[in-house]
Amino acid sequence: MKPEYNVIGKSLPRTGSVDRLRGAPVFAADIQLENPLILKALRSAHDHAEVVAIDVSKALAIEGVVRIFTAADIPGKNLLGIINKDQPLLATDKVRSRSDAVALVAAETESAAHEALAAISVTYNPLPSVTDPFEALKTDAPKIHPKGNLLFSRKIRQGDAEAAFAGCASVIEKTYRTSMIEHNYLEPDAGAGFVDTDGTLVIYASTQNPHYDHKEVVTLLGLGDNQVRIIQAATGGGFGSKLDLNVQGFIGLALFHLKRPVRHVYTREEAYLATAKRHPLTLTVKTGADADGRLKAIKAHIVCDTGAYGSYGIAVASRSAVHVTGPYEIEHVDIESYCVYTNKPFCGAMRGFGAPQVAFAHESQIDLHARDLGMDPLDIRLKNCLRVGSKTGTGQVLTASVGIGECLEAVKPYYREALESGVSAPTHPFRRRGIGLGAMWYGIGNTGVQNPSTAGIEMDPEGHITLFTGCADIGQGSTTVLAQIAAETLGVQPAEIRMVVGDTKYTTNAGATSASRQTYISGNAVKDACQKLGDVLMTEAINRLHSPKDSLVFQDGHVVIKAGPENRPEDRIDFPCLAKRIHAKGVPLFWQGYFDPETIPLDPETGAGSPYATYAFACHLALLEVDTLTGQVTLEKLVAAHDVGQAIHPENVIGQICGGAAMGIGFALMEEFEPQKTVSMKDYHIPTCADVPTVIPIIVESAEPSGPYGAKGVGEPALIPTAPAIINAIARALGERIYHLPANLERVLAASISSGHFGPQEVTHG
Amino acid sequence: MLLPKFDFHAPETVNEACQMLSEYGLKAKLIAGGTDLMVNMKKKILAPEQIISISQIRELDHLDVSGDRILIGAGVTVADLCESKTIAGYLPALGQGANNLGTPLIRNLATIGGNIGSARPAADLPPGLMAYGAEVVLQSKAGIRTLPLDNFFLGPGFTALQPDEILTEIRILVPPAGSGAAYVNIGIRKAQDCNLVNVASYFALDSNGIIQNARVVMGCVGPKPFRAVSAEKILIGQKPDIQLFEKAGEAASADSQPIDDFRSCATYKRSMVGVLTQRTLQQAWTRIKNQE
Repeated sequence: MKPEYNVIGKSLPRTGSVDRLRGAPVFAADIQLENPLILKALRSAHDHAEVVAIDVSKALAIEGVVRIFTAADIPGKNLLGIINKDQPLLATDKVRSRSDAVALVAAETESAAHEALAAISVTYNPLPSVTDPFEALKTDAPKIHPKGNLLFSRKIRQGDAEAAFAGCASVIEKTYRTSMIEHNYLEPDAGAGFVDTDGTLVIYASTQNPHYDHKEVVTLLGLGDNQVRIIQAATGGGFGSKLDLNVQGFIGLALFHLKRPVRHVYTREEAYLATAKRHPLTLTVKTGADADGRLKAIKAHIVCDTGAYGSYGIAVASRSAVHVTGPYEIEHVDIESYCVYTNKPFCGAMRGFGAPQVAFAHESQIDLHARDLGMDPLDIRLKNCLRVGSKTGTGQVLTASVGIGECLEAVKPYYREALESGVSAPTHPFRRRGIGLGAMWYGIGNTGVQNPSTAGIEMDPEGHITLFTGCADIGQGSTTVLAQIAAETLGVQPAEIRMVVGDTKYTTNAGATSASRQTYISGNAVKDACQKLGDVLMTEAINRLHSPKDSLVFQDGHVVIKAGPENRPEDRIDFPCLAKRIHAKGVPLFWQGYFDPETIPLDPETGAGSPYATYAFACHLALLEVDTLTGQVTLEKLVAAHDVGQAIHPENVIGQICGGAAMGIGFALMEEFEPQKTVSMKDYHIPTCADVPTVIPIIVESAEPSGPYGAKGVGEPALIPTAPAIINAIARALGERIYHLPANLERVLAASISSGHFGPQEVTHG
Repeated sequence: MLLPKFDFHAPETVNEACQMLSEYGLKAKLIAGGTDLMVNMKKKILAPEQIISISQIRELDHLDVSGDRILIGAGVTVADLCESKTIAGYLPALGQGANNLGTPLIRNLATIGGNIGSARPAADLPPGLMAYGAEVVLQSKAGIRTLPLDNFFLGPGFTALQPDEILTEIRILVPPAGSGAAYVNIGIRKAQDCNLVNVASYFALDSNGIIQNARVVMGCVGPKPFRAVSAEKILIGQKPDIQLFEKAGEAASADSQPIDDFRSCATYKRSMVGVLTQRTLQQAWTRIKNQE
């Protein structure tokens, strides 16, 4: 039986909606400061070069140019990176990609800043560059960083894969390639700042991780924690790219030296040029299945091209390795994943951290086995999918909330109906219909490393509640969800809770808004804080109501004796009354919550461990039509079933699913970032609403015992199964498979040609 | 992304506008919907000192059938073309182009005159217009001249329009009975995209069912939209059928001059010219048969 909740599972209006609808200046680019200076960064003119000299004299002579900063102006440590520190804010001895900033201009006007950029003279000594990660791994490759071009590797070994292949009825080995992807958040990176009267550098930023920004800026400037304050401005999407320091460091540097308000707003072109991309992966996967279609062994070799800097590359390499088995039980595992530097723009976090790339491979593999063995693609997935008690590739035994089977069952009726309606039967001379499945699993939180969250809850003596969280709401709705969790725990309405969010002066670290972790991890931290406050309130209520604790509940801002037949006033006591008494006794009404998911780090040699405390699961079904003469793919329908544990806010979950599906369509069919070619949204294609079909979201709730009210996460899972489902549907339509994303017009047409579908003879009637 | 500085004029008659153009010459740019000009100004590719809006000129807003001709004012918006029964009834290939152009927001602003005047090789309206044999009317202080649209385009962004001239009207003969036309385009995505290839085809049958006149127009595969002359030669004098359309497609493919770019390779575009030529001819034929 599902428990009854007051506000959990209800789609309440989102916090902050009113300000946005009124057009209040909530975004960083709109923040009003007095006479701010404009900041602009000069980017590298080379993929790889020594910086011999930077001459700013001409630029400084331009009217309105106030100052031009170079690396020499950085008072602290000029090296950034959330996992490994390898990225200077401003180039020192050399540039490693065209994204690298070489100098920073501060000017009175936008036009003076632009003029100054053109007038800075940088003398470079070009170095040989390498843009292919396989080339970069060769011993004679240009060395991008002092330690070499291999940043990280992850191995996972369990059983004996080679031996197991020998006993398999179906062994498939294929190489898959995915493209570099730009995030395309609605709001290009932006920030603004001023120096407060007490000397604090105050920085507003469009960010996914204000507390990380804070630490990074403090270190960069060599200041104390209290001398920098980061305030998360309303953030118009991030998808992982706003986890890196984009404008924050530049603003901090300018404030440090100039003590004047500044703003730094990227154009779309700059957001394309200067911020992280999704890692392109090349992976060779070999899997074996027995005659019954049971997967026995996997061998995978994964190369992640991280470009010039690490950013989240190590996390991507690690997560790719763990997830390449797919949501399936495979006994024998032999996986290697490498993160490699090249002279391309740096790659970092993007919705899924490598999981979308490897899902393309594992879902193609399982369809290939189904075909090889004459099995139905849904049946083979049901046969292999993880269950409670299953052991993963890292040897973790799953104990609860393994909803992949339920997700597969949830799409089954749609799948069967599509099959029965003859979806693959040709009805047109040059159109073929296809149906495809894509399944996925996704570990919530960071991979085998501690990633705690904290939260604070305060009740004032009048009984008002304030929740403090460092969790950045970037449009996905975490503030609403955390308010719901707090409200449920304390028996009030979310609107009654004052939310203080993402302000390092008042909030404590909630970690990154990434890895689909905030509902689960920060949700638990909030719940922990609320329970502590709740305990204090209960203790006082026991005294007042003369009733044992297990007879009391929180209800509408009161503690109430439950199960009383008549609603007597003496059976309840309100929060103001309790708060006043607790306060008078000197007992604290502010409580801090903490949660870190229970994980076991991966063994460096075998990869054994429990990298995540819980996993989300999903299955998408794609119905589409392929034009065999042009390669155009028209999606008819997507069915998307997601196990989220418990939907705290179902509309938010549906929003994530539909948005993820749209992003997945782009990943599948059209998106490919090519440095210096795709410079803006004009040249880089993301799906429009005309490209997105009806999406039927299905919420599956296999409650996670360690989650807040059973919740897990959905932000990234939403995207992951879409591309595999589409690629499998194209393969089914054409009888020919695509191994290189995106499946653009030319690749689909090539598949059509090699499958014999292309040819003028096909056009037999109009 | 500030615009360069300019003076703004909004004349209410063509004569007034012509007067201004003659005065300012190359310093002036006409603006209608601004969907092309504003983008180029924001990118600082263009910085005209004088901007003359023709949006207030009512005499450019007409869309009528007059005798044997369809007259379309240059200020008619693409959205108007989409909604027009005249276009749907007489010029469906132009309607297809209009419906595939940009987004609803763009279609509400962009005008037929602007789509022609900007002379983009991948524009959605010129192939259909050329397939119907459209003429453009160009007016200046000195007078009025007409030009077949075929001769209007000179290259990407370049036209026969003189600095003092305004494109005021598009004239198309009412297509005869037994004629049909169609337009098909391909882009990387389904909307709001620069076409990779677009083709419009038109043909007219005589009383014996023989193709007496044919025009096949290709976009995106040369510096300007242009006719696939060898395809037209193959069609004229023949009875329409699948094999003929195939041959015409192959000929059009051979006539095309696509280039490789990062969005698509020339081989693909060349191949698609053939496919779209066949498809537009097929659709045109279906339209002819549906008239019977």
